[in-house]
Amino acid sequence: MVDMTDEPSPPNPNLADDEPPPDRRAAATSDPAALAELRSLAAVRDLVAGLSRPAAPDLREAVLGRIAARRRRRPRTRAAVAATLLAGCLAAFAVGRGRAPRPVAAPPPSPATVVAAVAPAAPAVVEPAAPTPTRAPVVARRFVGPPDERPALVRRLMERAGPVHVFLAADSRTIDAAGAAALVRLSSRRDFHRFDLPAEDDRPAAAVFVAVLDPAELRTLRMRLADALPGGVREREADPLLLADLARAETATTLRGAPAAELLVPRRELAIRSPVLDAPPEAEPAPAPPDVPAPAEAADDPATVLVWIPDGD
Amino acid sequence: MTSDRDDASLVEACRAGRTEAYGELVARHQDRLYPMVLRLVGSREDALDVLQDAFTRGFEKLDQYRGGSSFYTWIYRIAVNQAVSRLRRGRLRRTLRLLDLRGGRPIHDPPDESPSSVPSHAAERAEREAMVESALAALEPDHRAVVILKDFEGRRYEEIGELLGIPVGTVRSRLHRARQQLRRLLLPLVAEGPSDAAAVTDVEEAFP
Repeated sequence: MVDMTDEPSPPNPNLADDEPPPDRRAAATSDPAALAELRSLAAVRDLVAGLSRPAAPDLREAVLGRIAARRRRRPRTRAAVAATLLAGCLAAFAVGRGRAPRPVAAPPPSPATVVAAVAPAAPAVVEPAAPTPTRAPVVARRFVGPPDERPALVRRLMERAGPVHVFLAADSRTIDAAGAAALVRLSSRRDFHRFDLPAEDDRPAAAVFVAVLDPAELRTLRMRLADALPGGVREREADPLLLADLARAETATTLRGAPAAELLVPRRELAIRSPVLDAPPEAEPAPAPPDVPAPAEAADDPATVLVWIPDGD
Repeated sequence: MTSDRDDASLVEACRAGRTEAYGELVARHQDRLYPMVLRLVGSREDALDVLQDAFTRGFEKLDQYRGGSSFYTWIYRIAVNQAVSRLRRGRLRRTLRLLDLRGGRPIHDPPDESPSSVPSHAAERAEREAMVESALAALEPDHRAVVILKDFEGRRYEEIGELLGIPVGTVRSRLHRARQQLRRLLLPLVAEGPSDAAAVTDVEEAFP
């Protein structure tokens, strides 16, 4: 085999080799100058070899800590990635099917601009909740992947555990899908998605909004939901059954986020911070029930958020 | 061999979900890996960080460990890659420059002076180590990696070539140039002649 090298050869290969064959060893030692050179290089070698070898401090705790930290971080990251992939796929799916992206309903302007829709029977554009400037239609990006990866991506979303925040409207009479869309739109700088689920068994039909929110955006949305849903909104982590419903969505629509700041005055004490929002105002702040996870605002990573609005009809 | 079998059972325990078994693997091998990583990267803080990264990465890649070599050989390769990557990224440059500014004081752990507790001997040895470390810091990262793996670790050319992903000829030439540069930088020590720790008694010993 040819021994390729990217560096110039040393001037005297006999001196460069610590593992020479006997003939080269003899050649090196027969020349006094080469011998002196050899000895000085060997002295250098021995100086390096003689460096101390300190023992390491105990790294067990630090290593296991890093492993645990990465495991904690991974699901949240996966959640964001899955949601983003899902969004891209849904947008691409419309193009891949040769279906033009559903244009924005021009007048009247919509608060939730439709970017792409995927459905045998896509829902009508979300009804306007407040007048906003008309947006130019947004065309979904050209899809360069397989024509339809939605099932795989939805499955990936389902396989995640824990990191998805789910807001369940306890009473749909106080908010409808259009209102929920407006709240998510105001809270999210990213595009978000609406899934329309048919009624199944004991579960009513529902509109589910899926968004990827930064911690500050999540806090804002939580406040807005608390304000808009005096009947209560429950916050919980996603479970596989809940996410499995997404795979049966009849329609999926991508909507444009448009964050807006607003001054929110809580109507009740602790309405902002308590995950249980229907507690009586005079009650002592109760500890969170065991099935209500602590919000993960401490982390900087974006979170996937589902807002589940059951059909009130 | 017993150690290898034990390592294998610990690896299996890790795969079965017993993360604490990995702590035992870390404890077993950290002392053998740490000196190599320390000499490659040149500072204690970076060495500890690199070694923790290497062990963490090793855990995450355990499913790729097939048992064809010992666990130590496998994690050694990961540690070398991590250390060389760190060295190449140049994140240590600032630290190494600080060494010069601090007058060549050692930035690594003080050597074990168990053979002799005479203060002057310890001070002399510490000073010599500091000079060698400072000279190593002046080398190009790729040259430093070769000279550490060859002269400090005692690896053979083929092993170094495999570890670093370079041809054996490149290993030889880099080693030679690294030693020449070190000789210039360490001229006072080289001119001193062989010390008790680095004796070259005859020509044969010049060739390992």
